[in-house]
Amino acid sequence: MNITGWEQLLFVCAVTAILAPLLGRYLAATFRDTMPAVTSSGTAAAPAARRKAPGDRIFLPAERLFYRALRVDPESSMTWQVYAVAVLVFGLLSCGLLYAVLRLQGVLPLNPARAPGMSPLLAFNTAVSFVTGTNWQAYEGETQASYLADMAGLVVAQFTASAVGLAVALAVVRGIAGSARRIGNFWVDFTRSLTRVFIPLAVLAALVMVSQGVVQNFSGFRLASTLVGGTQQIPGGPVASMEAIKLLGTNGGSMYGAGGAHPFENPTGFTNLFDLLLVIVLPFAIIFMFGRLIGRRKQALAIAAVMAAVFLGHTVVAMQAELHGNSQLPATVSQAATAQNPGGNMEGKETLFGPSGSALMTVGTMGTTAGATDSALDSYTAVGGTAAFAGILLGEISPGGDGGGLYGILVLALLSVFIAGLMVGRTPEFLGKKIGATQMKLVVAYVLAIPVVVLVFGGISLVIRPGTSSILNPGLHGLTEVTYAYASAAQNNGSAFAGLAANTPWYDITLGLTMLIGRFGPIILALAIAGSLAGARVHARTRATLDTAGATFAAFLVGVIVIVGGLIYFPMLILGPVGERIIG
Amino acid sequence: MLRSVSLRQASAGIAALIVLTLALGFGYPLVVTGISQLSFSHQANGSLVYSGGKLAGSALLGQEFTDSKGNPLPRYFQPRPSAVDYNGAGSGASNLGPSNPELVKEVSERERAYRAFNHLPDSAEVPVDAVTASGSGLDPDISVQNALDQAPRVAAARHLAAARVIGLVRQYTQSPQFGFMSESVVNVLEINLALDGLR
Repeated sequence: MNITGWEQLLFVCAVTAILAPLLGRYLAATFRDTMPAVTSSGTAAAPAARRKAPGDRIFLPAERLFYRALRVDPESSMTWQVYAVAVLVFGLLSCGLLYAVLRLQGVLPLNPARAPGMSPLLAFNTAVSFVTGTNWQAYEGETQASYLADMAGLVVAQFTASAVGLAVALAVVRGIAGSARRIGNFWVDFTRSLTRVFIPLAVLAALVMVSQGVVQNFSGFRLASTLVGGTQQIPGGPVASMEAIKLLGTNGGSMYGAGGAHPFENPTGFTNLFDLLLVIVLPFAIIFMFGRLIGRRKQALAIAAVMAAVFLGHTVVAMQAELHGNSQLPATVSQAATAQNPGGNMEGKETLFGPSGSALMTVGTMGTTAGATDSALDSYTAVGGTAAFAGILLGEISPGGDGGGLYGILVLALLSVFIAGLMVGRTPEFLGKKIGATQMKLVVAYVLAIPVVVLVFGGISLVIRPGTSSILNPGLHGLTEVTYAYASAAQNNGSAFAGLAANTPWYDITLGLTMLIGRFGPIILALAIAGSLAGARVHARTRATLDTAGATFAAFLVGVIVIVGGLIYFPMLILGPVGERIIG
Repeated sequence: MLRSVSLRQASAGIAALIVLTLALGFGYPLVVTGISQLSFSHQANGSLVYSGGKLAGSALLGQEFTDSKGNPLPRYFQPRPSAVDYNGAGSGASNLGPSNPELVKEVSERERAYRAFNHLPDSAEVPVDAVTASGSGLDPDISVQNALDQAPRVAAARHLAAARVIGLVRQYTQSPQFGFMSESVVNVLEINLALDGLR
């Protein structure tokens, strides 16, 4: 029995448990003064006084200049409608700019691989993919994107997508917990997220990566003469700077086709775990920030525990399955782990990471919008692949994207409060506010938006020629390639059962639309829910109030997550990986 | 109302995109590149390996050790199968599903070839990494078992004592980083360079 993977898992859990609360404290201090009066232990607190945030002396001058350039008043606050318009308009503009860069990259500088401009459909798909934080890559990283497109196009979108996510989460918290009618200023949330969170952490993470062997240069391809007299192309590029925000911003898009499996992106066992930590620590920290901002740290702990439980669920199952190996291979192929042979299902995996380390990193990020991988999911065992799929289908709340994880699970918490309220015959309340018909309609729309897109587009793709002709693997596994693609796009995950030939007109268009709906649909609905609760009366906590910070509610929430994710997609999973496992 | 709000947000958005493209699209990668090139230039440039003054590859990228016809050379340790033939212009996996008959066929063929090439008996187990393609197609490493199984063949082709090559495998075995962060592996390019350096 090989225990390396379990030691790695323990390490990841321990580091997250230590760092996430600390980082959450920093985040709370950073955004505290933007919170209007927030509820604290059931009573409305006094309006927050203008307090200093850490790093004001360094960041404030730059931020003030930025606000002046944008001609926005950082002291003003927006209604939820204006906030949503700001997010949408900025997303639209970002898509337009990125589309132009990708179309024109062939005639722009910094293009050592001589990548031609992308076709209109591929550029549309890629622009949408990065602006929505999905980072689905229908193009080949090494040859179809220039350095300029990577750094000045894709990386900028990775930064802004993550900052938009955090901004929306802050706005949702203000609406759900605060007692003001307005939910904050998008530009302030967005700017501070960048200057005080994503930029400093990205610089730091990139340098740590380079020290381990991630490349960071502008040399283009170098030609090496191999030992046996052949030649080998050695790629280059500003990889570490992209890798840092790819992971930190829960984006997932890489410079190279193989992503985190490429030794130049993920060279050591340390970077493999560091990459996973970069993805999951911040979404957990945002939950702890939430607890501090609303003055209910126990509530945050309950939510973090739910997320951790789901995370451990899909990750451990996948690690065990991949370690166990592929039963279809001949018995004379040694898949049993020993000290000299990591064993397991090694198709599509790197020797250095082994089967369990690969599954830990890859499936560990599946409950986030990163979907960063260090191994080929298409070659995972049926059980390992199901676990990865489950991370996406359960709504990406383990621990979710930066910001998206928080507002995603808050919506599910509202649903749980409502169901629990019906069961015990009490008026549903969350954080002291009554949840009524208006909120529940929006919650149901939120919960259904993504499955509808996935099932409709996935279903159509399975019966029409342009859909089925892209499938690589035969049988039920091929079906999963298609359904996985739509689920991944809709949840802005971006990982793939990559055998699917995705750069076709049908997939470029429909997956592009899926990503747009999957990103902006939930954002608008979450802001609408927040807007409907903003300024609502906060009721004092009584003995009759459902405790949403206890173990009972946490367990109930896990149940709702599994039922909502599991039941909606049940037929799809039976026809896909579950069937594959039974037949195989 | 909606129109004026949208226009105001759009003008802010355009200004934001201009500033951020300059700061994050150029400033950020250039700062990271500058510091990297000053502090970690070996790593930042791809951990390049030189042999006789010429660029021979990267310590992080696997390469092929075959003759001009593509047949593996017995005097070198052989890397894992690759979906991209170790051409660094691309990268990627086979993406064959676990239940795909093509994968099972390929693995069986590689298994037979591995046994024949290394003069192993039919009953010998073959390490899984030797018959499966990696995720990147550029895996620089093989498992220790894979290296040990190849050692007698390499020794015979070089007229060396098997014990000497096995000793080399032990010497070039990288134990897990910090004791648990990775598996034990042998870097194929490094051990082959060492073989060529043996007198």
